[in-house]
Amino acid sequence: MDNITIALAKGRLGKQAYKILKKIGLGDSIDLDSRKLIFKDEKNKIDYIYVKPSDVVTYVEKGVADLGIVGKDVILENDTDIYEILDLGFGKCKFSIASIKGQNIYKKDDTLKVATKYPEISKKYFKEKQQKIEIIKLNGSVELAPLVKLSDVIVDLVETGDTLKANGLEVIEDMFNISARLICNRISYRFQYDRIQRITNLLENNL
Amino acid sequence: MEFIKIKDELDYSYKKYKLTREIEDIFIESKYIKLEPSIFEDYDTFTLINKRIKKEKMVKIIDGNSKVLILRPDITTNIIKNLIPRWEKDLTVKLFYNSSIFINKLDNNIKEFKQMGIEYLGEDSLEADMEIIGLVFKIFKNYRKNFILEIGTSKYINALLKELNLEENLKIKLKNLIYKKNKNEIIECISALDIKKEIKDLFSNILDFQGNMEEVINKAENNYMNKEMKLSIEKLKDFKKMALDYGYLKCIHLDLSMITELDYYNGLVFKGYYKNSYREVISGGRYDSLTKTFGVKIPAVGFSIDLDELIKILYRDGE
Repeated sequence: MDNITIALAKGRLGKQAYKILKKIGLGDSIDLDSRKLIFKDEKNKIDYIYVKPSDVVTYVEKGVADLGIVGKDVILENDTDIYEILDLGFGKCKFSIASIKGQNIYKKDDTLKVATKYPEISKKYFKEKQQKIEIIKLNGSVELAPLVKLSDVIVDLVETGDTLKANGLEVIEDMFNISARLICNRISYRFQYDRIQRITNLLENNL
Repeated sequence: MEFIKIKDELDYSYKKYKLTREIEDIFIESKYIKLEPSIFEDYDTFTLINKRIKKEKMVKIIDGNSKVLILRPDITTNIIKNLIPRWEKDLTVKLFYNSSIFINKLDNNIKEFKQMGIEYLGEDSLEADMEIIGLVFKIFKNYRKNFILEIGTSKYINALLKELNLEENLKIKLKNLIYKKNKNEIIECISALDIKKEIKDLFSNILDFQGNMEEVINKAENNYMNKEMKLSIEKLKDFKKMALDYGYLKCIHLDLSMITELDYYNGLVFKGYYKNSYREVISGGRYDSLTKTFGVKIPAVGFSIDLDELIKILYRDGE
């Protein structure tokens, strides 16, 4: 029997994934405090690789990993050809449009300036709403952009809304609900169908 | 593929050509004739037939009369469009092609893929379907033992979707969710609809209709909402019997939730994978409804081979 490889996202999501894997009797070989990037579980024939969240989809799409646990935000932003087989329910937050209080976001004729770490998601969303936009791609502290008039609005992940509030911003529109997902390589899905089905069911019954 | 050394490139080129010749020989042996299709497609006609190929993926060009054309993203459409207007009754045609297709990738670079495939036109029978499947097996077996042919019937899933009477956008969304095997969001999507509970239940469990052909057919036999769905299962039963006789059953996975990227399939659909492939090596099916959009409905079945993918698999293994 071949080993199955599962890609886990570094950070908070990875820790939660580790917890649930432990719960279903897998993941004993994982030690998140070590600096190791590969963990081998010979008993269950599973390898875990520990990678940057945005790389999880890449590893799974290329077939280096058969399964991956990653946020829906990463899946949406990358638009890759993978199967999304289970909503794991944790890591919940929202994609929202936020701005300085009281602003009306949709401008009929003007171009709306949107600051975000997620250009693809923003482009797609506003295209559906038929709103012309200009994307300002930032890598962090997106909340600053409307305050210094770099953009009209921001598109970002919102969990509690505290950072927004502290900076005098508010959510104008919720776009999507986000949570952690179990994703699967298309070819692995066929060749390892029974095993992957078993792991999926175990996870689903222990959420 | 890019090479630093000329010798490596020639070596690769040699192997690729040899592979091409071997597969072409299989086609010629079965009396298929080679056809060289045109590189251009009319943008409007193509987008009308293929709603699931994203418009940004097509490589657009403008001709001298400011008409928008695309470089063919698919060869079958192209061939059919040219043959149909001259079609004669009771004609059967077996042909193959080996040409490039063009697709825009996410990074906005145009990618050229070699595509090779066959079309069997004018014959609507289980035997014709089986001849095509036989050729797929012949090619697969020639190079590796470990492969899976995923088959489905677009009639089952399309007839089920018809029950929902969805507007086009929502239908595409639901089809995408089924394609992505996204059970949670399928349930979320249909729970908002005002439809019979049994249809809802079937959609919620649609992804369970895959695996061993015998088991899936047994399960599906009691799960249909209309005549068309029932008929599609009857056809699969006949197919299974024949596949068993030929010894194909072991390598076949039936998936009734299978959604194809191209919309024109109506009947048998299939995708073939080698174990270490990164995408499907062979994909095809029955597409009588494509011919209808060009004026006359004639039976048609065929497949295409992703030659680049195939050679990558063989080359990686050092052959």
